[in-house]
Amino acid sequence: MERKFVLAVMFAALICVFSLLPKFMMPFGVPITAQSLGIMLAGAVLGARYGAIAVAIYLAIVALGAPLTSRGGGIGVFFGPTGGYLIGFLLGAFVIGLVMSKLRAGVQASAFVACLIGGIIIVYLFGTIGLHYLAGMAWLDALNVNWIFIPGDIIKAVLTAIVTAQIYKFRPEAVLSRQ
Amino acid sequence: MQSLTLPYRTWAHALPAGYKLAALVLVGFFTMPFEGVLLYTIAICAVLALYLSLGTNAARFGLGMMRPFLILLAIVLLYHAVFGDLAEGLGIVFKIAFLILFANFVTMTSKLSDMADAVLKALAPFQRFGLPVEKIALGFALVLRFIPQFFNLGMMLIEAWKMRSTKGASWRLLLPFTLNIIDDSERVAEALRARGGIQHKP
Repeated sequence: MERKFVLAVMFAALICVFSLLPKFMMPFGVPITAQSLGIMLAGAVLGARYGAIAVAIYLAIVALGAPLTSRGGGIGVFFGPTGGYLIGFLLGAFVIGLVMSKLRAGVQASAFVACLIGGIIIVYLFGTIGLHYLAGMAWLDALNVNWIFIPGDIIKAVLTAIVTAQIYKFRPEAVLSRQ
Repeated sequence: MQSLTLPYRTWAHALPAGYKLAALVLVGFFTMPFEGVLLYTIAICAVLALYLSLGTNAARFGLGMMRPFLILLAIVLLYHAVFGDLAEGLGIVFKIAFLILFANFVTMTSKLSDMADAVLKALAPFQRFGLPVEKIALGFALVLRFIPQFFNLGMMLIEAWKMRSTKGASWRLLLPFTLNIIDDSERVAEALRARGGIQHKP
């Protein structure tokens, strides 16, 4: 019980550290960061439940005002134009874990597919909803903002797949999505 | 394992952690829409005055907590100077520095148990709906405790890699980084179990 919970907490810290890496600003104030790599890893390694707990802890710490992103912290980030992506992270990690546990393919292939579905489609879906409602963008414009992130996120999905498979090889008991 | 809380008491320790956390939330919220070098220069001076009010040793301790962020802030500034606008970059870096300094002030003058208590108190009404409040508080405490350590771990791995490679840091560092975190996690879980485990009061 402690094991899984502490793993989720440690992955929350991992996401925080990834979020501290420099970002690249894109038009419409949407940053590209390594934090989504942390989200993908949390979902793929920890599974739906504990992956979502890890992301929830990360979001809670951000909401408390800890300066864990290059945008600072605080409740305010949830109301910014990119607030939808933050909610998308939570559901994205859950979906990645869910897909991971449902697929019967190898860990690497499953993690890649899971990241495409949860880490890209779900995150972008909520990000688009956020851009529409928080930044007042037209639906199509909000949706089109996402294309620019696709190459970077596919690279992150590949990295997540490789690393998750290696973790499964060296520390199989830590890959909760495959227990 | 380093501690983020000052090893001795100051006037700021006497303030309830809940108030300090609330102040942090308010500052984080109200600084969101504001940019500007001058504004954050003043804000940083104000926080530094707070640091100095704790004594020079405490100020040194607090500024030491900034060290892991310095390289990062320099990179952010350089990025803006090269690809964007230096003034804008300065504004962003000063804002981040201010928020980190202020958050560190709260962290170093609040025992983690006090912080956890403040969060517990705010969440207590939700316990009847099945929210595991103690676990959440413990989670916060552990995350805040391990972020600087994992940041240093990452820096160490990057340094070690650079010593032996002609190229910069590689994605290959992801695996040792994650494995280290998993192993730390097992040790922390074991330490928690040895101390009676995570209790859940219904």
